[in-house]
Amino acid sequence: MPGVRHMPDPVASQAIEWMVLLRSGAADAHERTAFEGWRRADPLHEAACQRIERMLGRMDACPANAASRTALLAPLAKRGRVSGRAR
Amino acid sequence: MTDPSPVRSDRNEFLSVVFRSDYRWLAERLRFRLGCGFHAEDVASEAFTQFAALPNLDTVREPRAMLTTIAQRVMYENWRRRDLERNYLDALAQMPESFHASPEERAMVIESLVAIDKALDGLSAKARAAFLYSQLDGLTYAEIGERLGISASMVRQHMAKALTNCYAAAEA
Repeated sequence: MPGVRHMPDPVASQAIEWMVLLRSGAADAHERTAFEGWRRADPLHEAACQRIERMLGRMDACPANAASRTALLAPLAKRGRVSGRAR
Repeated sequence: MTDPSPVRSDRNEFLSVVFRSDYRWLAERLRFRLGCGFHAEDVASEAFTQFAALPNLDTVREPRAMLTTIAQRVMYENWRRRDLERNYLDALAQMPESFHASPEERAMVIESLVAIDKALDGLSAKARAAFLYSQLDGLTYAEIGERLGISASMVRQHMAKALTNCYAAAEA
């Protein structure tokens, strides 16, 4: 359902926090090693990371990044509703 | 031997009643709205299929209202997919280096765009943009912040929201 998102569990939140940090451009080698350690420490950690990476991986199937970005950022066209008044 | 599940046969009976009385009603309504019988039939049958797959059918009091809601979502998703496809192909056509893809590759890209778009549903335009600059272009949060006119820490917050959505949208 659009807009409805349940809060992720604590492990998912940690995985998300790590991934946010690693993508920042400000993470150092020490933090990368710490992440790898966290990820390996528990199969649940690994599973949470893989779950996010599965969705991110779909972007690898999108060559021509600029075109993908343009398409995903284009505003939604105005549409009618089934229940609205007919023209 | 136990009898066949009474719940299931109730369900089938209920579905055939809905199909007989409400499916036609929905298809007519859609035909009127969409002005195209073929498309209306497609949307109505997809809506009915999704309706029939609802886990808690026995709690549905107003099948027509439920069918209308589902049909609305199906139409929205069809439109969204068409928009994404058109916007993507338009943007490709305007790029200096032409990118050649087979129809199959193109279809895969569209599928991926639809999945990502769904995952990003509900995010603000800035959050979407921040996420895409990071994921598609590999920009740092400082660089993204500069492009979008927001702070790096705001970019970080947008990224956290976007990745939370990705987690929720991916299958466990």
